[in-house]
Amino acid sequence: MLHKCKFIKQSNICFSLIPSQEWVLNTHKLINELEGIVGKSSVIHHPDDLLVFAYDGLVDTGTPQAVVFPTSTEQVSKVLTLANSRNIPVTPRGAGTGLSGGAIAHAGGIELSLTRMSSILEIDPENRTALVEPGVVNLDLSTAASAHGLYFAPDPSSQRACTIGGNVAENSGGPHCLKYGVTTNHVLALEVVLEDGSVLWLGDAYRGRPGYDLVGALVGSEGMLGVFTKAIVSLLPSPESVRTLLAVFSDIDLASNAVSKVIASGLIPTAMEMMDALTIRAVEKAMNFGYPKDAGAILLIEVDGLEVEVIDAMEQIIEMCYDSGAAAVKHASESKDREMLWAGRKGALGALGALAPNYYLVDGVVPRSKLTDVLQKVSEIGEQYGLPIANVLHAGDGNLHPLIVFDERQKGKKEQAMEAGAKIVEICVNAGGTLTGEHGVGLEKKDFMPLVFNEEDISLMMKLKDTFAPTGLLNPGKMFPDGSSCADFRQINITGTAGLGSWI
Amino acid sequence: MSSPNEFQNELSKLIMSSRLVPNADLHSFRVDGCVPKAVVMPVSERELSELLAEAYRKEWAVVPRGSGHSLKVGNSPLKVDLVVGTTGLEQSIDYSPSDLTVTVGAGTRFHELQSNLAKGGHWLPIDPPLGPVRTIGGILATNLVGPLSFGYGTVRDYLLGLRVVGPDGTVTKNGGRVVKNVTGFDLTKLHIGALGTLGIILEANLKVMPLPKCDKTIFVNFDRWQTGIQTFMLQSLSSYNGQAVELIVGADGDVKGYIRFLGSESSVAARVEEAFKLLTSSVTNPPRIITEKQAMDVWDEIQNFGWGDYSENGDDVIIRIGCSPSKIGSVIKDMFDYCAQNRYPIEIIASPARGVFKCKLKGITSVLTETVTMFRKTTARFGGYAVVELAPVKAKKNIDVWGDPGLGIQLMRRLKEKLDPNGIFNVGRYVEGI
Repeated sequence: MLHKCKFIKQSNICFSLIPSQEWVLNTHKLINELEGIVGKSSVIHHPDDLLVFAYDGLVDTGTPQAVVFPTSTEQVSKVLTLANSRNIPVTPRGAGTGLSGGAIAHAGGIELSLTRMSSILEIDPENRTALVEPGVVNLDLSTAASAHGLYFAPDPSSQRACTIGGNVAENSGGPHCLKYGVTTNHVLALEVVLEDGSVLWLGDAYRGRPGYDLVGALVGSEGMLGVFTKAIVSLLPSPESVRTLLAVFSDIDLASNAVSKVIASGLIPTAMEMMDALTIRAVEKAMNFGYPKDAGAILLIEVDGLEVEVIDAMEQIIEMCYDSGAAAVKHASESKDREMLWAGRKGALGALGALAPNYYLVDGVVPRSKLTDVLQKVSEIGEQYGLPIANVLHAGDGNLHPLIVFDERQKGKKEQAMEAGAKIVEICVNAGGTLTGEHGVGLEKKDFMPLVFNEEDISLMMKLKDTFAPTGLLNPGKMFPDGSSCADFRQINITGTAGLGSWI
Repeated sequence: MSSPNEFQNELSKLIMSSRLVPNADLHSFRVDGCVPKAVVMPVSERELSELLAEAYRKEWAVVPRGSGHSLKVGNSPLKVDLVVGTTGLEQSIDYSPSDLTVTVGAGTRFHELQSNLAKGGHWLPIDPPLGPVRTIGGILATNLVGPLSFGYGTVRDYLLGLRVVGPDGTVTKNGGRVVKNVTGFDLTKLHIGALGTLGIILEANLKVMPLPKCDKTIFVNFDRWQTGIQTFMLQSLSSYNGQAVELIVGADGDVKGYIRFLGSESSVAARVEEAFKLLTSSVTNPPRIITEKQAMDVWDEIQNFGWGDYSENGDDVIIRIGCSPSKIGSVIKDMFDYCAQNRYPIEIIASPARGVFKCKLKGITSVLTETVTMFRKTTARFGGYAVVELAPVKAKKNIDVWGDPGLGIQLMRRLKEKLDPNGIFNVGRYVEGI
């Protein structure tokens, strides 16, 4: 199914990790040196303690030799300088909630956790910006900004845990990016430490200075180009009014029609989320919201803005939902009631966990108008593999998250789930979509890259990598298929083993 | 490569003569006074790609060209062998209203794109100088923005994917045609505002927006520019703000303010009402709604400030200054003081909440270097930048129109070396001579 990339990059800069392996033998010395930089309490190296850092939200694991918790840009710079001088791979890490393996120390080495750099250094209400350290939790920024009537727009589902640094590295989305865009639309400037330890600021607290948009290239670079130690992000004014609607449909097609109607009417809701029958049943079982048992799809639509706009839009949307055959529509304007409507959607992942011990959450994106076709094909794949697939999707922007439910203890099921996931990704690509809408490529989808990009496309991306991080020591083995750089990452001894612990 | 004739002989082996602009017309394709040795209008990507491959081998200096309107942007080129136009390429507009996306050939004129989108009830809400007649490729490559960027952002916020031809003729794509996409590094942003120094844009995938149903403009006269800035900053920070908020301060000191409201009838009505309350309490002259025709003229004037009447042998200099919105009043004050001391007539348009203003200066071309140096010193004190957006060709020779590109300059140079190793695209026109 996959075409392995066979090209060899013409580069004289090579990742010389394999021949030396010196750092593995000298782990003790390395740890002493790291402790010298960040202090004894800020380095973890005992195998038991390392176990938890072998994971993020993906199935794969990779155990680092040490986890380091710097508290300043200077310490980050010193750690990178040290790593660079010894050819030690460095994997930057935020909260570890990523779903594509971006924070897994795939090649071992140093895991650089930025969670102790978690200060909101400044909120500037007049210019509507915030200066933050990378370890600031996404929701904490919005909470702090709310004192000024502002908030940070990107809201990934993990926003109670995930960090701004991680959001920048993965260019995170969230349910509300339909109207306000994803992380890249809200990052103005970055303080970045390059692999050689040099520190520089890119961008300004405003946009418009001439020169290449390097900040634009860094957002979503999955920790491979540099380590962010500060960010200036833009904040949006909290809307005067927000209304949420929950509509129940007998099947996905009717719900999709409603979404199409809303888009065609010229309204841009802040969010349009859909859950399918399997998800609804799981949510109902776990949380008992009183969803109709025969519901085939639930649509959540949120609009925000001025009170007049919101009332106006909500009236139209309610009508469009009924016109499209909605069996029931509920809507709310008070925040407590709105949260009730959202509770099912937000708790969906947890509820689905009750169906079987394991799940594989796939992230695919297609042109919005292809959603119905693609969902049909996804369900056929589920039937073909005998695996239940639940769908929770950002219907407004064509971003689907089929969740393949399985029991790892049954032999071969995990492999089947992975295979089914791969098929789904291919279906998305064939429908004019792409591999990932918001989770990133990381380890999970690096071998799928040739489905979307040819050798030349990838080689151009490698040139960007060579511009920022020629040695390949920063987050090695991610995003690109094996063999697409001079280092053949398959040779690297992966210290962790897949299957330890349970999947989230 | 000694003479244009030899050069053209070599070209004629590569490309059909019908693609070559006749010698007699070369003069009208000059770039800041530099007459190219040849101008080629390829009709297919393949032709363009093969031509570039040869240019790359021979290290010919290539200037990519859309409609030609923004060739006056940037430093004067150090060398021009070949001008390569994109308007001869087959242009297509593949618009999918239900996906809110469009794929458009780089040589397509912006007005054609807009009228296509309008049929489906959409638009691309950007208004760069001379926008309608320029090409999509040129608009992306120059990233000049207009007043609507306050409410709608810039083209950066709408770009989903690009196809680009590199200096050696290799065609690559990046991004995609979906509104959320994190598949691989985002190289698309690097081409925005890069003046074609990293590649020639062939095709862009863009996100589109619903056309607003209602469009109203409020006009207000201020006694002093300071009141205008303060009031408009306040207005912009209100949730009842407009999508474009601009002040024009004439050479005679007259201060006119305009706020444009776009959206549904009810939304515009509510916001206009609030704006009236705010303005009435802070100005002596009552604000009023201007007619559709008046509004169209005034927004055209603001959008095209300095561009509409530009002449390369003229006398006007347009300087664009940017900084954080909260600093804009201080920067403007210093500019006005400096110009008053030196008796330079200055006219400005300012968008306080966008943190940007443009100055039109007349009769300063002989002292442009000193003036620009002084402007840059002032803006740097406030963390801002100053770019000479337009200036007579003669005056440009002695200055760097871009100014300080920030601390990323070394990485920018490295990037240029990686992506255009022979340095064939727009030699010397970009920041720090890139």
